Amino acid sequence: MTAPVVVQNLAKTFYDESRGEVQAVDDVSFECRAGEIFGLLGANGAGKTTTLRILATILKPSAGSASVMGHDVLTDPEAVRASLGFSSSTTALYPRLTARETLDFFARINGCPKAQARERVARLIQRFGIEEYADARVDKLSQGMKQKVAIARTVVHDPPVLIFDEPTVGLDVLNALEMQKMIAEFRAEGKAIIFSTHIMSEAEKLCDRIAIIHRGKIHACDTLAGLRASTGQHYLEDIFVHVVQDSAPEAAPLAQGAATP
Amino acid sequence: MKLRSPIVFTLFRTELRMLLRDRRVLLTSLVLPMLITPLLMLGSKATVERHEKTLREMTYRYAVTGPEAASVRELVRATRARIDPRSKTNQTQFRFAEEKSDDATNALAKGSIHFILEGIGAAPLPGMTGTNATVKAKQSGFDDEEQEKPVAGAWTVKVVFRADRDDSGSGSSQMSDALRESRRVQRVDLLKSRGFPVKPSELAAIDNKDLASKRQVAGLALGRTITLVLMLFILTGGAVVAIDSIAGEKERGTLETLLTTSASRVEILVAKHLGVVAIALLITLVQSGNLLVYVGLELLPLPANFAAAVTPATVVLLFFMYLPVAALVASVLLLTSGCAKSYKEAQIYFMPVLLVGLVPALVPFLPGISLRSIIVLLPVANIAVAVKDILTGSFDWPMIVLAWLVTAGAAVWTTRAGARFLLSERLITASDRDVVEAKGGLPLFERHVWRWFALLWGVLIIVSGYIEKLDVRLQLTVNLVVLLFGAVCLMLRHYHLDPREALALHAPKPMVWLGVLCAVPGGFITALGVFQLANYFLPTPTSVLEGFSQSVLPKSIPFWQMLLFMAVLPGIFEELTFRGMLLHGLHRRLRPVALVLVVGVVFGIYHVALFRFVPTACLGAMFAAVTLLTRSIYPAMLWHAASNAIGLFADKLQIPETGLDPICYFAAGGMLAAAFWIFWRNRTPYPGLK
Amino acid sequence: MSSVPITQRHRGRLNWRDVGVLYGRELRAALREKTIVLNSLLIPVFLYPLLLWAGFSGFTYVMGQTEGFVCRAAISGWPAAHPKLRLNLEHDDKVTLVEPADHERAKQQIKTGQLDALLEFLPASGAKAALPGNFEARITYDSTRERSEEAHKRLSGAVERYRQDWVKREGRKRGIDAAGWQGFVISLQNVASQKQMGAFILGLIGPIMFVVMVAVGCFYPAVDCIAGERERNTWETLMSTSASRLSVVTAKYLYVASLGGLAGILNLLAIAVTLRPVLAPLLGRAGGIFDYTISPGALPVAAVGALLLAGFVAVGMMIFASFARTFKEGQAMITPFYMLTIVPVVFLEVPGIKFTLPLACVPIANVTMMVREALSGVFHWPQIIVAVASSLLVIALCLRFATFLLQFEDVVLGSFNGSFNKFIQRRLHKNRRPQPSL
Repeated sequence: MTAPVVVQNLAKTFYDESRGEVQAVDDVSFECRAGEIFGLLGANGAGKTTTLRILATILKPSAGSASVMGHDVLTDPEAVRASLGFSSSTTALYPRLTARETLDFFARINGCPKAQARERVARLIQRFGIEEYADARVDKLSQGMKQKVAIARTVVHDPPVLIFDEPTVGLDVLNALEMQKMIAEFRAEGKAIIFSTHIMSEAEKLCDRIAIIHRGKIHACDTLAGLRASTGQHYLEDIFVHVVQDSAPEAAPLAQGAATP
Repeated sequence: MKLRSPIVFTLFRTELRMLLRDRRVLLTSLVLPMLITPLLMLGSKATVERHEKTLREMTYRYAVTGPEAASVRELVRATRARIDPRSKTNQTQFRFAEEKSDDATNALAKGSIHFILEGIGAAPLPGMTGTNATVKAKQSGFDDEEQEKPVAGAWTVKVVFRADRDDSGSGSSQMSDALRESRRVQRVDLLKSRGFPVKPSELAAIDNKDLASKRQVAGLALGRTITLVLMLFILTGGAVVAIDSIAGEKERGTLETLLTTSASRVEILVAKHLGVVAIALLITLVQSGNLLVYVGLELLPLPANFAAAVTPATVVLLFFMYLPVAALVASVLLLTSGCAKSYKEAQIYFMPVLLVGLVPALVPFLPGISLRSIIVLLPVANIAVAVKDILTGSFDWPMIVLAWLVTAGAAVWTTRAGARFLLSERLITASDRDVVEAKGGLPLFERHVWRWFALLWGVLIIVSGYIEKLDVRLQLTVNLVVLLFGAVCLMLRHYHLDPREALALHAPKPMVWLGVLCAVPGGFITALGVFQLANYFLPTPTSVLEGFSQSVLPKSIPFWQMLLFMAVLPGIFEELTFRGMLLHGLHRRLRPVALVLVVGVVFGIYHVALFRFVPTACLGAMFAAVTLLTRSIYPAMLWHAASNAIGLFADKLQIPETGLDPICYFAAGGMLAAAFWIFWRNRTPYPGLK
Repeated sequence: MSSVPITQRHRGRLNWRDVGVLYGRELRAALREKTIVLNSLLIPVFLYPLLLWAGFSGFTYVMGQTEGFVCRAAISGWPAAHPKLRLNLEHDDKVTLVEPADHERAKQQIKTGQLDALLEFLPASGAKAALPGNFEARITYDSTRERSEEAHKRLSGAVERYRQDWVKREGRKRGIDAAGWQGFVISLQNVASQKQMGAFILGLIGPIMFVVMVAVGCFYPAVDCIAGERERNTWETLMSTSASRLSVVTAKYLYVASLGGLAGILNLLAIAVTLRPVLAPLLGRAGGIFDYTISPGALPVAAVGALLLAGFVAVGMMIFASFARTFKEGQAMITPFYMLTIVPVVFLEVPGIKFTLPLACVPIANVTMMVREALSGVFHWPQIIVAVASSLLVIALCLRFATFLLQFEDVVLGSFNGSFNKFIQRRLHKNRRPQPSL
């Protein structure tokens, strides 16, 4: 059976006035299975966000292919998005809608019928514990509350595939832990989850398999145990440094302040 | 292209909800203008009224000079007696006072008097004196009174004033009117004294019977202005929403969130479009209500019977008529917002959109415009004229429906164009360059070609205005060599294009020249025929044609120079520009037929004058066609130069270009067909055509 | 490290070094937006010729339509005593005579557009019949149809010309010669020079366009430098630096004023460059040939006026934008002030307004009058000095107020979302609350 998310030889090139051609993603291939959290681990500018944006059909790949639930991102983008819940630090919420209205909006726009949407929204509000501020406007909420609403709106239409791009950025310890707990619950529900982060401990805790991405290439992809075995290191931080350093002679020097668009 | 109404409705409802919750924007867009606009109008009205009152009530000072000063004073005295018979001094009606002055001209320059009345004596006819002059005067014909030329024996009152001073202009005008009235009264009295049985005004009295009802007259006044006012409201009201809708969302990051949902780009755009239309219409309704308040406060004059002109049925029909206008405006505003990378950039584009958008709404002000003309094909202008007709009670239903469909079609086309922008990665990425911009070359030139030619057109118009008084040879040199060829060189250099490919500098097959030989006379006569045909839809004033002929074909230039500057140079440099660069920039984006037509149209627009548009567009299209068929610019160059040369020869030999026998046009058509058959048989396809 | 003592910085004084750094950053950021800069310069080059071309094409089209227009008129009851009138009308190539139907049918045809006008000659009645051969002419037409209106004008013009000719003939019969009939001729002579006329027209339209262009030029920089920064989340970053509030405000103010003034002047130049070669001949054809040369003496005064105007408009807009959290809000809040800047100009739109000392104290109006008179070559120095001084005073006061606003947390953070009234009330209420005793 095909995995929900299949990425093959994906590449993406950007052109920047000062830096010239930037290979943000370079021959990336991986799969994400149902009931699995697949981690994309890399430093800032490694190509994580670009890869995930291609999967979300916001960007088009320069080469290679990607599919979600069997739908190709290039030829069938709407079906891809219907099967996907995407949450990123760059995807903001509408400040003038209340939390409830936000969830209802995203449920309906992703194809949920009205009655079903209402029911799902009520369930999610309860599940995420946002009853207290469900009818408050988003611009009045704290960062943690906003993040919960953002997660809720990502899953409101019950997509089989979830993409979280650095979801715990800016959260305090408690909120970050709660976030991780929710994502683990989604895994238990059988969703295929791609989780990108640069926080090693998070990846250690959550991910079933981890791909280490550096300068647009995946340099290692295995379970944590497998990575430990192949690198001889225990902590993911050390594993990461080991893998990245091993690949250093092949790579061009990092540009100053490199950050993919 | 998927369009699911529940999705669209959800998006639309949410957009509206968010907008209506933005109290600050609503307050400042709706409420505050309601307060400030009456202030502006009151201020303007008060200022104008006060000024007019000042001019009405002030006493104007004047000096009397000239050999007929005594006659002038007598005339003024009689005028005063007529206006204000009870008083011998300055009273309420006659507000003029003479000032004695040794140097009236200086006094006028300094402003101590408002105008001078100079009496100039009657000039006798040359060679005539005394009674002979009088006899001659009796026999001479009366001059046309309207032109105010003095006949022999009549004297002149010259009113000398300063038009750059409001009071001087006003005073002199009032005095002239008073003197004219005195003269009229004098004539009436003169006739009466000679036994004329009726008043002159009773001779061949004209009685005008206007069949238009008061309602129709009010409708005409309203019909002229309503579209302009509504366009202003719709544009300014819609812009607030449209600019924020894409450019603003992009800056806030919510656009990316929206784009990751399963709604298609078209659904998103349609929903935003509906939001813009809804808000624009809401603001229009509110502002229209304001206008009624201003009318109630007498801040705005309205035609009498305004209410009668606007019945409920008319309101409904007008609403329906303006729907495609609102839709088109919304599409254009969203397209503008989509093109911009930021809110600020979108704001820069708004003012030009506003100014250009108001132009078609001015069409009803032009006299003689009918819906049964080319106007019906111009979006917004056609609705404006249709509304004017409807309000005057004239219902040309086929044309009204056609106008509606044309504008609605334009709205749909613009919306689809806007949807393409939502596919652009530039909306999401911080990178302001994509592969095309980075690599440059032909792909980048293709993206920028319209901007170059729009700018070049603007520069040509501006420069032409400054050099129009110069010798025509110099003008042509500047336009053709400096501007057109200069732009070609710039484009080649900037995009690193290969001149041979870009300008199609390839030798054609030998037989092609035979085709050109057939095409030249055929094309020339065909263009003449097209001009005659176009004149039916776009009639050209005779004065314009004559003026053009005189300026372009001055008699003082040697003929060989006319051939050089008006045939050879245009044949070279215009071809390099249009069939070279423009054709090259568009050849991969448009199909061949569309390409030929577009290049022809642009060529026509570059010739500025309306009457030249159709024939030059026609010729331009033919030149483009031969270039595409032969992959060479040289045949078009020769054809262009020869065609112009024929025109010059025809002018020199005074061969009439109009009123040709129809058989000539058929023959020309045949020659053209033969020419293109030769081109087709000896074709070398232009590489990269779509 | 700054050479200015820390204590001075902390007191919120104006530090020109900080101002220079901040101003340089603002300007650099603005000029790096290549698309905006380029479009601001290039759009007018295309736009104004386009608008003029559209206008000219429209006029040419209309001229062509009316030139070729031949009106269809039905005429009945030709007066037998005036065969010349009939000849004139029959030989008029702008009028086609149509066989007249009955009166009612003709009216119907006029309403439907099949006929343009009906001219009926009727015998004179009452006192008018005293002159043998006198007649009345009744013209029936539809003023809402342009063809019919044009036909009405042509027919009434023909009858009127004939009437005047007839009056003169009658006069001649009674021994009134041409000179006696004409009596005197009135001619009007404008002795204002081309330069004076040009200055007059410039003085009418120039200042108003000037104010509008400068206000528009200040608009977007004012919104962007405060509300735009908040939207981009760089506002707090700026507020947390060691630069004093006054320095920040001054730098932003200089940025808005210089960019706004420059944009306004560039726009005006663009209009002058593009319109002058086209508009001047157009006005010339309308009967006036004017010289639009601006005297050299006017330029410094106009430049000073531009600076003062930009200065005042910039600070006013910035005050309003202080309360905005997003670009859209900023735009919405500045719009009323923008409209208010037009108010004084509206009051001055008529010619003949005198530049008095009291008027020299009114912001915007004083600059408008100063520039208008300078364009006409008139320089009232006392008023100019008062205008400059009062404008500078107003600008300084407004700057101080803007700085004062930035002391309040909710304005600094941009979290204030109530009305301006509420803001003032809260401040007053806070000041009135009794202080707790120690």
